Amino acid sequence: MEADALTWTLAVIRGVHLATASGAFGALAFDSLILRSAVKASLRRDAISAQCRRLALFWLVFAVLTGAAWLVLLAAQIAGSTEPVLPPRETLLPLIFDTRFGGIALIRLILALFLAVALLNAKLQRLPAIAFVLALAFLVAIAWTGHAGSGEGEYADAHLFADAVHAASAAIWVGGLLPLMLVLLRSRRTRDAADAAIAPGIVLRFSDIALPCVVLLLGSGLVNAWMLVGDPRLLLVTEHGRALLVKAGLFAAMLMLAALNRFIVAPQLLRPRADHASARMALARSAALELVLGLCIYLVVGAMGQMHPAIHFLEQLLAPT
Amino acid sequence: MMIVRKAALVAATIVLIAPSLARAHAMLERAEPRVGSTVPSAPAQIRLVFSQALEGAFTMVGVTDPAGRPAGGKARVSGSEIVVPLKGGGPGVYRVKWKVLSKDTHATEGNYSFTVGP
Repeated sequence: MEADALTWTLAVIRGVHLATASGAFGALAFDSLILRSAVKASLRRDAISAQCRRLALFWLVFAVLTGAAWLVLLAAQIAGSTEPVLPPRETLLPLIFDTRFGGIALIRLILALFLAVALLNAKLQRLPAIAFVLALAFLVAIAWTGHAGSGEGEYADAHLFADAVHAASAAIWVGGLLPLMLVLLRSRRTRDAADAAIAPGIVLRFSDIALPCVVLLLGSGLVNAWMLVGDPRLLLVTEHGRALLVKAGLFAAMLMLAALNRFIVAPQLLRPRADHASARMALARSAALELVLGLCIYLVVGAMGQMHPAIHFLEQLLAPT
Repeated sequence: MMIVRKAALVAATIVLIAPSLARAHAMLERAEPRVGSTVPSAPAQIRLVFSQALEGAFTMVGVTDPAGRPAGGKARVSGSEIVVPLKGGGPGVYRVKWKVLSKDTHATEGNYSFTVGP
């Protein structure tokens, strides 16, 4: 079945929204979980923290804009449109004020406003945990608007929890790649040996944090797959299943790149006679490719949000022929 | 640039092998009286059960009696169930048209009928 222009537009907007919300949280997670552990308190560390906050604010603005676009286009879809057009008020207002999606959107808008204040206010900047928690809440609240949020039954809460863990762990990994790239490229820009010297510690700390994130991603992904697919045969015979296979393939490619970086390229930063500048560039390029793959995953997830979960076809699959 | 070429290859792969999208929707799992069934007398209400929790603000269920007159009252939504009280009608075919929005914002519509009488 061919989807209309509005469905495709919604899929892209959803994917971009997920990516930017993840980028905002990922930048702050990089600051709190990686930078502050790997680098001692200093003006240099403060400068990189400020860069992370600017990145988070940048992504937050796009997340709010794409979130608003999602809401408006969704109202158009509910009103029966097949094109990306403005919806009638009698659909938009009940969507905002009388549905779970609208309620969550309003809560997330308030969280976004508080987060913006936390990122811009000098006093609140000295308490990075506030922005971290607000960004995390802004991101994981999306789970309540997706398939996991509409499920019922004894496993519904587990599904919701798995969805939230999945979103957060993906954001820490993928959302941290751009700040990592900027740190790796920093010494090229500043020509300061001290900027080059902090790179190995940050890279190793990033790997230390990324590994449990990968484990959480796999675990929560399996829970989600069990809830939404149910039977492996549905992976091949449903649109949702095939999209999940594409996502899994992209994830595997990211994992291979990450393993290459961790075990082959990153150790060169610690060898005294190795070409550290080349190693930093290689890592930055690899991080860029990982980021592109991660963005593709977010687009696939945006599309999957428009699809019928594979498990809804389980009865057909099991019916005697 | 190498990264751009690789990204384009990945994007093209997704476009080529990615399935065409279908609108996801709450499916009608069961109804009382059952779809297409015959019941001895007109029920006081009909019940529709869907595969996902529903949004009451965008739920519409219309029931018409054998004469084509509206026979259903205000639909009550609770989770994934809709209950519609029926006003009296004689024997014959009753038609139900429904349009719902699931909590994860997918709209579906459909119709079915059931028969009252011997």
